[in-house]
Amino acid sequence: MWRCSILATASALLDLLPVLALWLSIVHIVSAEPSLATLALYAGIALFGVLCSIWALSRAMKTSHLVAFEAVHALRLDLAHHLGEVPMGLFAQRSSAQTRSLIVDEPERLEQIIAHAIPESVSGFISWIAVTLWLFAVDWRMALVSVAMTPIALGIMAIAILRGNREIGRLHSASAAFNGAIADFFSAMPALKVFGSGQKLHARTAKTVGDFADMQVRIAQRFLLFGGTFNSLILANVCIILPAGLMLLAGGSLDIPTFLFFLILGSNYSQPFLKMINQMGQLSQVAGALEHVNKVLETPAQPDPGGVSLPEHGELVFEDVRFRHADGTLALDGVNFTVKPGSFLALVGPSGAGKSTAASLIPRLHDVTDGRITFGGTDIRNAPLADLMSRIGFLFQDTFMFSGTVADNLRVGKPDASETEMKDALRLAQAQFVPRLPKGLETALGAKGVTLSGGEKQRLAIARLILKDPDVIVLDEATAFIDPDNEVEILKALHALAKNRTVIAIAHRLHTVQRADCIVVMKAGRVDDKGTHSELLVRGGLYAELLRASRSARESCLREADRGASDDG
Amino acid sequence: MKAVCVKQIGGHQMMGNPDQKTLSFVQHIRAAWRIARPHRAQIVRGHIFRAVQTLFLGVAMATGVIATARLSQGQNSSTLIGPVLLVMGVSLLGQILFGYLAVRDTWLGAYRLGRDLRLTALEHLRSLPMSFHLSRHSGDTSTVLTNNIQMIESLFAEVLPRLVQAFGLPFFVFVFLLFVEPMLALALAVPVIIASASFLIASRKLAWLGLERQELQGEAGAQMVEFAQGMGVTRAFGRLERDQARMARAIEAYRDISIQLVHDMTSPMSRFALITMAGIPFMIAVVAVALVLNAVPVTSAILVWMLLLALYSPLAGLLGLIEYAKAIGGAIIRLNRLMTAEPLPTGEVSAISCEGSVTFENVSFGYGPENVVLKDVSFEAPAASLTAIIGPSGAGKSTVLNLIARFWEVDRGQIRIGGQDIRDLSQTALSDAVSFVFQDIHLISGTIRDNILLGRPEATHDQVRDAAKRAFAHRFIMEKPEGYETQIGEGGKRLSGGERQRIAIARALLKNAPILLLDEVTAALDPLNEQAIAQGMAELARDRTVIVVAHKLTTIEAANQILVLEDSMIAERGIHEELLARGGTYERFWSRLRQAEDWTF
Repeated sequence: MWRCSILATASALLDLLPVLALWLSIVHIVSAEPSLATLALYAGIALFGVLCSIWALSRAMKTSHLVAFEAVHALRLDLAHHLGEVPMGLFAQRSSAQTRSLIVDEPERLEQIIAHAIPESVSGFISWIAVTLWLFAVDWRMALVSVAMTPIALGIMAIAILRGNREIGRLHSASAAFNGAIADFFSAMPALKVFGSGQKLHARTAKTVGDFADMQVRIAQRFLLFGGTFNSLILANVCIILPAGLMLLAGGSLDIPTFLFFLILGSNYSQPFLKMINQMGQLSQVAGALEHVNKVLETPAQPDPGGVSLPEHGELVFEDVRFRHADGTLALDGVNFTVKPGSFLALVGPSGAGKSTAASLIPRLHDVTDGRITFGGTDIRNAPLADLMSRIGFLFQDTFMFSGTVADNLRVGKPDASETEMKDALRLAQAQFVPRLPKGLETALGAKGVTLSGGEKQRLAIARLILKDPDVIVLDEATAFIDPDNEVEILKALHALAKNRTVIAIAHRLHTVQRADCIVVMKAGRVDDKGTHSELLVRGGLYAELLRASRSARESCLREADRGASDDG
Repeated sequence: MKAVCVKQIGGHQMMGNPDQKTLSFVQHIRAAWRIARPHRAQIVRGHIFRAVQTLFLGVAMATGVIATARLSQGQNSSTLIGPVLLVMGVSLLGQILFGYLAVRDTWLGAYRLGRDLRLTALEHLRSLPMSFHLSRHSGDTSTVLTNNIQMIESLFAEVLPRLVQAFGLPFFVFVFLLFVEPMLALALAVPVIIASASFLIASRKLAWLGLERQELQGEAGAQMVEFAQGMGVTRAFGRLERDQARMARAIEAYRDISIQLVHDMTSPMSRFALITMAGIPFMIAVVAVALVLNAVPVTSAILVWMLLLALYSPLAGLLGLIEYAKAIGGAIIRLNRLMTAEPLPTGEVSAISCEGSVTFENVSFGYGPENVVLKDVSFEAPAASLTAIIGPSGAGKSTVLNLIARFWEVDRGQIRIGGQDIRDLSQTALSDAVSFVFQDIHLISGTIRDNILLGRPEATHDQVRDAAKRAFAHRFIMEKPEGYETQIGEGGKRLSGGERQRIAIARALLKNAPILLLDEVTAALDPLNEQAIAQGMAELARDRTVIVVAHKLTTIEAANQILVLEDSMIAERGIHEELLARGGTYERFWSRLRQAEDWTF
């Protein structure tokens, strides 16, 4: 970065050579007979100045861009590394647009700022100082006159900013309100089209547009009109340099060459200064530009001391587990249950009871806030995360497939899987659509290949898990619902996955898990009851109520009046 | 040049040539000119003021030059002071005055323009058919109204004025010199012409090269995004090291291409600045020769030399500004695309007979030429009946509903409601006749009451409560501290899925339209919610013509008519018992649905 700044400064200083050459030329012809040799010399000086200045600038720019891209490179590596260390649950639901902004767009902004702002503000500052010193060295009185406009203009600018500050804050909130209203309006479009009455909403949205525009106009009037004046003054140096110079000339205390010097150099005095102010403004934006990146980098890494190794098999036990979300809400308030190896445990309960939260703690997508989860007697936080990941497989709502072939994705589950093994897994996962794809296992997925439906991706994910062959599976029954036409296939696949393994399943439709070894009924972050289906039924309570509601929903019909037979018990 | 159609909407003229993705600089300016129509006067005035401000500055500089010339001829400096002070005073005042006026007109004009554009766009968008909105992401449309119009504002408020200023001074200087010393003035223009030519040639070549590089960079970027997106899978399957190595390679590739792109860009820009600034030594030499040959007087030489800087240095810095202006061109294109979309032609019939029958006659429809979804579909749903549509996944089933609501226009055939072609109905008549309960519930931000009132804005509170009760929503609403006045948050964020559904049902109940279009819910709901919703739906379906995309066995069984959609056509139709007996598609479908519903692990 130093080399770049030096080059940029050199360029700015060399830029003065043509100005100097012009001055010398003018002084020459004013005071003597024009001599071609002298003028040729001056032209040469100017040419030298231009060539070297531009050369230095282009080298400076190339260097600064290099430095900037390296910095961005380092930032992205840092980011990538960090993403591998933070709890997985934190970034689960990011859209690809948000990810894009995080990994691609925001770091690019850093590049723009570093590549331009740093060299230009450094060179602007130094050349501004240099020119100022030079002017004062030549004649302090004229120098004073030349620089006089600057503090006046700055003063006006400062007043304008102070006056505008309050308004800027209000503008931001008006802008946020406006953005929100617009987004809202469009996402509600289908409802507005059908229900015809969009009048009130439209009027409300139009009002935020009006409010926002009014704010902008108000700020323009208070702040920017001042800014406009500042703009004029900065460039109008010549208006005071000229008369002052003439007066000093008349008084005899100034000679013509010096007068000309100030006329030429002084008039251009403000340019580097303006540039520097602009660039410093850019630099101040760094913090804001990297908002999301910083948020990720500041997230503490998930502790993975990995001292104790995790046993191969064992009971999974929730011991008085409590979990609080980042925003403070208590999701689990003392959850206790045991999953014996090879058994099937179902988590049921009304929405918001904490079933998904509890399930997500098992693969440590988040860590418990209090209490502990043990596997084979060992606290899962004490064992290496890699160990846990090899014992546990989980299937939640978002299935991700890499772009690559089907085989590549299956090998994620088992790197050395043979073709036979893959085909078997696909069969068990009811993924018979794969052989029917254009290139079978070697078909490419993603933007440049085939796009799979939600249900098809689910079944591939199940096949992937079958290949991984973990001891414990955590799954969400809701994954079957995404594809109503292939629901049966997905359910069969889930069944194949669950065979001969320890299974913890989040269930929404109670009748699907009636044969579970243990049903844990949750409510408001606590375990309301647990036992087998018959045990729970006998005890009555929440489970019975949920079961009744579930049956009633299944049997209720859109056209009561047309139904002949009554529902079965 | 393709023919360009120009439409006028709300006083703004739009260029309707949506196929052109990139415009030349001149076309950008023309497009911007058209858009600015109603505020053109103010904006142009602002730019003229900016030019006048620059003129006043030019006058000050010219005075300096003339004073120098006089001094060189031996005039006493004290005689110059008086007139100079006068001129400087005038010039300073002029610059401040016109600077103020310029900023006022350009900024205020730009903001007023932005406001008008947004309101006009909002109004226009409302009139567009749903097909327009469905074929884009609502986020894109929002962006046009917020960011893109903001860029257009900054075009008129900042970019164009700065361009005027940057061009203005050199222009005035050139014109001035043209009068005073035409030969030298022409010599002045030479470096600028050469520089511009070299830049244009280089940038054309680069544009082509740049595209290739950008594609590669796009790929590297996509890989980076994929890695970050797939982090969950990577860690779950223990592939962290491997995938991080791949990611590192993608990041490196991205960096290397970026560096190359910048290299490509800086060379022509440096060359332009070089040739332009080389005008200074060039002109020193030219004038020197002219002086020695006695072709020009010394005063002219002084004139030209003193004005050289004012001519060349603003020009050298111009390029960056022009590139930025081009970026704004993209924003103009996107706005144009929006504003030139055609609203749906509606008919005059303002009411239909109460008979809410729905008829499809030889309807064919496709989202695109290769994407035919319905082929020659005909059926009739009599008033107060229940029609269930089932079939393999694909857009066909929901499309039937979308066509009845006229979200899209049929390609062939006719859809009739109560005997009337829906294209002949006015927008109000159609929306009065039809209620739609979507799968993704669309709620507006506001209170629960606001949302239910969407069904019938003039309903009384009692009517609202009644609808909510029948939708089995009243109880959960009253359990909330603010009851019906509860704010539901953006898109209904503060409510659960089941609660949102029930509000949508209440909304449809309040509306009480004769035809109900239902996309049956497939999302997982807890049993209590599911029960309430099922009961609410049953309530909804009483005494109405219901057309439902069905997933529940009970719904299908109870239907007066079942349509089996397969391969874009109605493969089978009839009632449950008949179709089951036939042993065809329906029977297969039925048994699978049965299996799924009765499933146990």
